[in-house]
Amino acid sequence: MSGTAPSIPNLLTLRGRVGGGGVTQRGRYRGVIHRGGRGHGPGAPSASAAHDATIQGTDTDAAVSRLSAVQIGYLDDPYAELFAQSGPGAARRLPIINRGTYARTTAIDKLVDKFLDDTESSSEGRQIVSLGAGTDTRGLRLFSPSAPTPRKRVIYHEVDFPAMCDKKQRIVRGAPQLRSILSDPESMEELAQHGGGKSWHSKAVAEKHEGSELWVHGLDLRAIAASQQPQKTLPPGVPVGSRGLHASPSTSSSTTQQEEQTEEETQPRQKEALTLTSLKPNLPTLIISECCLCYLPPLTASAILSFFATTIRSSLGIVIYEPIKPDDAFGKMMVSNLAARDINMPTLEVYKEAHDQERRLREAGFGGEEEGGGARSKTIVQIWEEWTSQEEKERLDALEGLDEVEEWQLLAAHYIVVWGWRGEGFDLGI
Amino acid sequence: MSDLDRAIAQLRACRPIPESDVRELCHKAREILIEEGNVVTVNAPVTVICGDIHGQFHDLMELFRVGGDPPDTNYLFMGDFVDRGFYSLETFLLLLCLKVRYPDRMTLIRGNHESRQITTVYGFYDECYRKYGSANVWRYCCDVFDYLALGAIVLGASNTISPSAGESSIPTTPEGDEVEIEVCNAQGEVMSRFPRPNNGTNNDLQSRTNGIPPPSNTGPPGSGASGSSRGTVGNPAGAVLCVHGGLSPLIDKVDKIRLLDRKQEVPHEGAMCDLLWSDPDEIDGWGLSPRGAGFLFGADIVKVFNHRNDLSLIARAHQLVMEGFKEMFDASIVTVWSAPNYCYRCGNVAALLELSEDDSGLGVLARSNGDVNRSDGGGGGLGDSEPQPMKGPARRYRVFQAAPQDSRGMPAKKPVADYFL
Repeated sequence: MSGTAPSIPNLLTLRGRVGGGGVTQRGRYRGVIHRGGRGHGPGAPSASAAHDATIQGTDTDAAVSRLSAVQIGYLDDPYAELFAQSGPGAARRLPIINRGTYARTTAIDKLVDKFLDDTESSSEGRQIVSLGAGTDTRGLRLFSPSAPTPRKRVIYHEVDFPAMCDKKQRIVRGAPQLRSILSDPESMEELAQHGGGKSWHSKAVAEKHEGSELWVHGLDLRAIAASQQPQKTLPPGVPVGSRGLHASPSTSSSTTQQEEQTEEETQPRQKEALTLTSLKPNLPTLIISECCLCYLPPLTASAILSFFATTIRSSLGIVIYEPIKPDDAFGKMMVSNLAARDINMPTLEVYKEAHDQERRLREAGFGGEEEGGGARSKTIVQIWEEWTSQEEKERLDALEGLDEVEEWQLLAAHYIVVWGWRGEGFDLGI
Repeated sequence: MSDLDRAIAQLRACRPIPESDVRELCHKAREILIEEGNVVTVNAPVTVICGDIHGQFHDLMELFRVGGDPPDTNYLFMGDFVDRGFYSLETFLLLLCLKVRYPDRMTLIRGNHESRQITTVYGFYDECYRKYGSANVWRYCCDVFDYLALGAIVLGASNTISPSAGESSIPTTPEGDEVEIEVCNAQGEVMSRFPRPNNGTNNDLQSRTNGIPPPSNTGPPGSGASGSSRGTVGNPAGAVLCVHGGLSPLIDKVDKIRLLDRKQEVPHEGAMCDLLWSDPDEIDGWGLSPRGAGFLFGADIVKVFNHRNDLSLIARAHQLVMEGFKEMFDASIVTVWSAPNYCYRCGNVAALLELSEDDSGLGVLARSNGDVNRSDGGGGGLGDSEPQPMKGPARRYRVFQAAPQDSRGMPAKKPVADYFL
């Protein structure tokens, strides 16, 4: 754990060292990026690389959990088994974990479906960007010929470490049954300037999903934060400052933005503006972070939100799923147990409660007074109680006994789905 | 040193014993358990009542440190010895060894996890298979599960707290104020004390003693036996029913528990299932349980049941409570939870409940079968006016935390708790 500390600045420490007025736009993200940026580049300190590997390992955990929920019958996902490397039967998770996997998956599906339903008539299409998607199968399920709803003109982007994208391409390429969903993956060059690689894309094959595509971008998300250069040094043409909190000095009261300036201040790096191939600023867009941004330092996570908030000029929605409540007895144990596995979630210390998460989205431009839209949240407990029909609950309860009722209440109360939207075109007000 | 003592020593070191020894142990245990009724009678010279353990072996060692070593302390475990934790096997076999070695000082009743079906989902089966390479030991243990009692009645508990061994930082209550509840930490220091609300000598007590026959020799409640030397124990505090889960709509008298055929896998429904699966809840009457087995039952159910059976308290386990214990419904029922940091994840503390022996000499005997000189006679009592609750025993809760990770030879490999990642 201590070995990974350098890549994860303690926000409270930073706050204490900042004079207050001396922080400029220029220095905003530097401290984090300086350290994080090195962490994923060539010659990265081994501790940081190990931490990255640990975080990538959480994807394996999620894939096994997904397969467990599928095998027992919670979820219908024929593609889960392609991505979970475990022997038969080894994937079985405890009932509360299965129920949690079910609740988070169906909750995000519901929001994704609402977005896609609302933007059905968008003649130029719409797009989804799944951050840290890993081996997630949502894109495959969406474009499956047996999917319940035709989804035309949907560009589904995934962004993850190059190694993850490479792995995914190999699996997709090697699975003949996926040829009825996606065309052969085409590798592409992009983001080399930003340490990216191993990107690929593919087209939805089924006629009912005509015009839909999957784009998988091999990129450490921290590079997106790094690309958020101070306004005056940005190359022309990159829209900055039009929306969102983080481009606006007037809102710098948020303590999350205060940060020590580093030596980098005097050696500004010039980088090419970061663009994801085929990410179209004029399309209604939905961002998904399913346990992804929580592994990043708060400032880096904010910078990534800011990148999308400024890049996308059309209406924008966001769905974030991550833990909350680090301060009660269960939460403290969760933080400590995960830290023992070298899993650290820096944003958890900043967005502790549901209202913090909603405020986070409002400050990022979702549902602010001028923008329209909104920011909402539900814990996994609430999602289970309120979004799962009685009939469905009975079906699921019949799959396996769930004896851990109190434990479920505890665990599921510590995870939240928070979502926000802004602009015209769709409404996530559910 | 007998084989049994050797097995106890080995298990205390958290090392499994050979399969052949397990087989022999389980055989002996069945011979002892088969002689026990569905509801075991326990007399209270310092009885320590424990809730779920769930294979958290090192925390069981901590429990013994806090509650006193068996057989010096008389223990009553309310089930759920296995599943979830990583040492279900060592935990259950140690408790079983102690049961065989000290049958009168160790009472084990069945929890809903002492079941073939549940242990295949929640870990005990896998653990046995992993540790022995076959399911034989799991089978031997499951055969023992079928013989475990379904409940216990504690008699002779004092309604005053005996002096705590530890030092108190809390000033003692004013003279004459009877302490009803005392909460101690793991070092035995008193953390808080609660005096009994309507103390001693008022009409309330008289009204309670009205109609209760003078002391006489009786056997265990509901057994119909008399003349037992055990039965002379004065019982001014009323009897305490211990059961893993709770009540059943099919059981209005403790005696009805005695009539069940318990020697079977826990059924999916019916009285036996309910006793192991039900939970008290803030509802009126009965409700459906979110667990899919057993029922929810409200304060009215508990009060009528306790009144009808001359019980002052129901002690049960089954539900995680973050503070280790939770009294409900005017202290007519308490949940005791003895697995600290449950599943190495929940961050809760654990508790055990200590009942002192009554030495007041009051000699007022309450019978838990409730069929003597009761106005409601056990029939039609539901329609009567609010039953007068019996004055409960004094309770001392000892609250303790999880054993330190590096203590007692705990393996360096840290247990991995699941989260949503």
